[in-house]
Amino acid sequence: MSSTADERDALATTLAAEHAAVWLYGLLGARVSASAEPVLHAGLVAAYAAHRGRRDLLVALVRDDGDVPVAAAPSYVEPGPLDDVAQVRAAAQEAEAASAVTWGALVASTSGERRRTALAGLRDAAVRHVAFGGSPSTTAEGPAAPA
Amino acid sequence: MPAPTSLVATRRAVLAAPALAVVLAGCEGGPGDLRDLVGDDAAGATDADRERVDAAVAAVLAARGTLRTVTAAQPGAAAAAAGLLALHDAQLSLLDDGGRSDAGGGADEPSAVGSPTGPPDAAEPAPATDLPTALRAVRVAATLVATRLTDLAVEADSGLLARTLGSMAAAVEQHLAVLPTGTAA
Repeated sequence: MSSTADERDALATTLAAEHAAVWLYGLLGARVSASAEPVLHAGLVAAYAAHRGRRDLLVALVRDDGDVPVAAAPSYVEPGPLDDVAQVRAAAQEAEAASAVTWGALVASTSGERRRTALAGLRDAAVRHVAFGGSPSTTAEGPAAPA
Repeated sequence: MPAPTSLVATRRAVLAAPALAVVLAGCEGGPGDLRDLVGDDAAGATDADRERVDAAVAAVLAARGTLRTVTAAQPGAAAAAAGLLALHDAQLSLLDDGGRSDAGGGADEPSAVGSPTGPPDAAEPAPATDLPTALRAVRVAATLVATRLTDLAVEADSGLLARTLGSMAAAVEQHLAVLPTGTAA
């Protein structure tokens, strides 16, 4: 598989973002009671699994290029206070909004089946954003547009 | 879900840790200039991409026409479809650069209903005799346009056009995700 430098950079950046997302959902899931907030908790668990799947896929793509996948950071700065359900929802919305932008950049840097994979990542992040209570995009450029 | 053991970070680790928001939104991906790819002055676009933009405009016009027809026949669906209609207006303003798609529509507005010459990718809604049927037609039209925009994004020569079309499809999917079914829970 021959990839351009832009594509390799975008893959590495998206992988780093997915590492962060996996970490974040581990954090968010631990802050929500499965019995008190079963729907939200299930959504967080599903998002965790989805991002872990994307991360593993990206690792495979980077290895296909003969590169070494970027590792997760030892830790990350928490996104802000996570003391109640509203704050957890807001953090998840922000994470998915950011994820959509990152996958959109990968769409722009890839072609063929890899681009289709990136489009799926963009779509999933955008839909999860509204699943966590975010508003659907009303702008022409949509959820992948850089802020 | 595994225990978030990494949360028990030392103060030193936290201080050295990357800011999550920065990592999550790792790609700045400048907006580029889509005006180079659409409209009459699409000097930066390949012939194939110009055709893809035309195809995207046709698909969104068809979806908007269907939504207008369905909501006219079943006003109860208007509120649910309002967000999609506004989205399609915005998308057409960007893609068509004020060409065929003035927000007010017109006599030549394509519609899947009663239009045997309509675009082949247009949804053909069933008669909207009740709210669930109308909302189902809205859902079909939105699904079709999202799929079409995604396929055009895959094919696009320009990465910027690919991202734009893919993002437009994702926005439609967001509205689909919150579209009511119209049936009692």
